[in-house]
Amino acid sequence: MVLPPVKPHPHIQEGDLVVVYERFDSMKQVVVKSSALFGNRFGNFRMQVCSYSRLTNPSTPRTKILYAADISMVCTFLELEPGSTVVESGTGSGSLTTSLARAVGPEGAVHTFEFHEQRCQAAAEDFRQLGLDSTVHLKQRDIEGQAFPAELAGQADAVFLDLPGPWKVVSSAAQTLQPNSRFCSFSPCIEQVQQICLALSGHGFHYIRSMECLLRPHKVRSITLGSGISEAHSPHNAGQNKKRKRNDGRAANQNAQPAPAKIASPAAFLAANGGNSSMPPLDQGPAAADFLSQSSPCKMNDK
Amino acid sequence: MSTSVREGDFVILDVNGEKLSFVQVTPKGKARIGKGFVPATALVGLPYGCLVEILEHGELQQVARCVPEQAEAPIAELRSSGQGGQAIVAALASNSATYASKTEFSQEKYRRKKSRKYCVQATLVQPTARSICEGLFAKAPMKIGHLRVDALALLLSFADIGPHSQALVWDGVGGLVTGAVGERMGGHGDVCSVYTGRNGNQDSTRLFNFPDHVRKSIHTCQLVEMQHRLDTPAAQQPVNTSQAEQLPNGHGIPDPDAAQSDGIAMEVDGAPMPMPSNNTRAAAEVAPITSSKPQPADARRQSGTGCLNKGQPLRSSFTSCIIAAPAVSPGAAWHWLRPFLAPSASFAIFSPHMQPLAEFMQTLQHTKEAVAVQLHDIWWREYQVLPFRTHPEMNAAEPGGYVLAGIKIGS
Repeated sequence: MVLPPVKPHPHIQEGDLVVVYERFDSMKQVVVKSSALFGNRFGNFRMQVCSYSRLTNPSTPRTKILYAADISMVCTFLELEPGSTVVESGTGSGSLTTSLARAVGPEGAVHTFEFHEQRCQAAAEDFRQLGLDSTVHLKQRDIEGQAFPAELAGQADAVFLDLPGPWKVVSSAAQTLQPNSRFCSFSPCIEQVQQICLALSGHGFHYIRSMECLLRPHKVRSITLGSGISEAHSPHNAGQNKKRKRNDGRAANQNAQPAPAKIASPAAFLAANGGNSSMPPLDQGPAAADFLSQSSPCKMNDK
Repeated sequence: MSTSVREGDFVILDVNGEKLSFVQVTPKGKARIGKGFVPATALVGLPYGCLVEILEHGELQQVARCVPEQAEAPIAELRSSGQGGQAIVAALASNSATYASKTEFSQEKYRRKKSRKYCVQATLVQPTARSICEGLFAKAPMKIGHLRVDALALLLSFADIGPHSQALVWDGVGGLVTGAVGERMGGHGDVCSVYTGRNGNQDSTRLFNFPDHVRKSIHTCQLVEMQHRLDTPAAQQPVNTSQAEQLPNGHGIPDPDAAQSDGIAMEVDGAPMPMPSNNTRAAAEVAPITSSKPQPADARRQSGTGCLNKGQPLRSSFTSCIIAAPAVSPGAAWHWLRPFLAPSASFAIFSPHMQPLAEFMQTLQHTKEAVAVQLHDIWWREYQVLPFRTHPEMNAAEPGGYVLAGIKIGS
């Protein structure tokens, strides 16, 4: 099969979508037009050569979007590969849709349905700009009310739902899916997850797994640790110092360093207590999950 | 992706949802389900995803799944037919003096316990990046560098792997990452797996049941050979592996794979995993990209291989890069691989430890060779979701490792 050339051109061309990376917390999408100006904090520039960085997901969030952790888990657990057919609802900002399209490639198809008219139009424009309009088939449709179109029956390798009442769609999803294929629903509340799990096991789905995933960014800075000798000469303190060094995961040095050492030390950016196996923070960051996103577990006795 | 088991395929057996084992369908292979064995060839033709059990007289039978709410009817049927483990469990339960007085929860526990003994059933799971990673992780996490499936998923996303990528992979975890990249690219574009030392140990790549065109898009290459081809077209440069010591900077690279050179000691239930007898499957031993083994021209066209076989220099030819070699310093790996990456190439580096990635992140911030550099730790937890019994799984709070990702910028 001959595929359209999707390999990016090594040089920026007229009409390209470019992500301009200004600094670590600022990225901008720009469509290159040689006659236009590009303005940023440093002034206005002619659109000539700027440092070219290509990102795959340049979509502006208009609704609550899925984040990298969720997107990667969805694509992997749906077991997508080039040529697969995925059915999605709702489209929302299209942030997941672009990743689904990347995974199934130009041979595959993403059928995505959005209830909201403006969001649908905005997403359609995004997909056109990203050159995905041959892969992504977007339609305005109330999936909870009208279910998936009958012509998709038995077509899908995977179904993804991000809806307020996904259990209403389970029987339609079951008809849309091929045998031995994957289903995923993304919900912010555990009650929704509970409902969908019950609906799934009633419609012939097996191996139902509910999960929560999270990425916690870290920043890195250098700090200087003293030997502790100048503060206190007691062997008790020196021992504490050694212990702390070992706990930090660095090679244990049996002799207290007389000279201070410069080290790179990761500092937790989000987690208040910085522990690696601690609970994620409740109210910040991308607290979203594959199937559910509930940061505090229900307190129940097991069994 | 085939929907039913073919001869030569690898199949993952999920036994009672508790144990995952790999089996290859060869004439000599045996599939073990619980305590029973059947010839592996008995699996041929069965659809992936189906449930099987071994009957008393040693025959493999596909069994119908029952929806939990309607469980009573199929069990009654099985009992009347006088075969199948479910029937025995049901009989045991009905004969038990205390069963009826148990609570609903402990009845379920009783059935589960008896099922483990009398009703061993296995699901035939199709090997995919997800299922292979989970299977290998459950078996021996240290052999895949504690690379959990969520970390693998993130590597594929952050490195922007998809059809038409040109992917450079340093896979120090036995071929799992190379295979996952190959699967995501589906034969469009090239996967080049770099290794150091004598053998590249990419055994796990064979588990994927790749069709020919995908297999042909996956190449393994010694780092030394890669260095030679950095600015020299392949045809002009005879490859000499003995030049391993003459690397730039005058120092050799440590051989991280040597420690693992015994490979993933995967067993097909007692018997060592045999190489496939079938010739096309044996080619899963991925083709090297050296000029000594030129591929036929038509094969090249089919697989859509780009830069790797055209005799072009490899400098700046890869758009994606994954480094998952826990035994290699990220700085060293970056030093070797960076010249091969195109400007704007996405890269992702996995390590089970944070410190090496943190130090390397600081290096990158100083050298300004990359933008959008992010260091993340990965967190994943599964839940038991049942009415009034929803709680996190008890064994799912292990740290998942760390991923450093970014975008290379032009110099």
